[in-house]
Amino acid sequence: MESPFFHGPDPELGAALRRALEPGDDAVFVARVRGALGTVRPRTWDVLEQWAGRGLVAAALAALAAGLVAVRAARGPAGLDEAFAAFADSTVAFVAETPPDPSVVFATPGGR
Amino acid sequence: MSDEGDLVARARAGDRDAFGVLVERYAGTARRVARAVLDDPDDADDAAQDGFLSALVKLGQFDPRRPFGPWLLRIVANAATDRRRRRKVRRAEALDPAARAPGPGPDADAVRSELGALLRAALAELPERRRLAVVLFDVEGFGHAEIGRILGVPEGTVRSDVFHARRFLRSRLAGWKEER
Repeated sequence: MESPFFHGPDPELGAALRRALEPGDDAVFVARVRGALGTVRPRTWDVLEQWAGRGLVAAALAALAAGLVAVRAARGPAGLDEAFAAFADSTVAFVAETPPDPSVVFATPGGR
Repeated sequence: MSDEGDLVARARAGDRDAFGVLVERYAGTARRVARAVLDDPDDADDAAQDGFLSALVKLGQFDPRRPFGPWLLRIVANAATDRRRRRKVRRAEALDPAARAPGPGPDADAVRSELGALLRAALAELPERRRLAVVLFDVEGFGHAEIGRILGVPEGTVRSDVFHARRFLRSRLAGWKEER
């Protein structure tokens, strides 16, 4: 008699059960199921779930791009004053903290 | 990624051929599990097919970090149970008299056939969960923990189910041997 604490395999019973339940050749069954696979359509919700991640990222990028285009269109083309202001700001980059050496500034080419 | 993991990933991406390979690989196990629930072999095959097709539909829900076999067999077992309920088949339904009748002679085929019929009838008398537990353990070689995940019950329950199912089946086998 098997102990309740014995949980090893029982090869004799296993083999007898396998023979009893053996359904025969799998080839016909496999062919039947393979044929039916083409009729299966994924559920809408599963498809949406699979695409949700990529879809959200794409939608966010599209919204951002559309927002930028809309803002630029609302502002219109840059005016002359705005362009000069931008140029004036850019000169800051050329201003040195210390004055230049006059001998260098007023020197003539060739040392004359 | 394992061979099976690769097949599952391809199937999830819509590759039906990859899923076909999985069908081929699990056909025998799925059919036996369904047969453990349904006495009629054609019904069992229909249930196994339902299970495969249902698994394909639900493939997006499968966690690829877990083994595919137990996940699939849970779906197949549920498909077989649903079919059984729909058909209102009684648990202790009598076996087909032709199958129960002794074989034409004392040859090995007849003995095997008789033994097979006896075991199927004995299985049919067991509660469904015990039936599945003993088939998954002794025929398919799954461990108690995996069977617990397939059947959705604690591991201790599986141990108890396997123990009681084996005791019952062995008593039937012993009686049959004495009669012969």
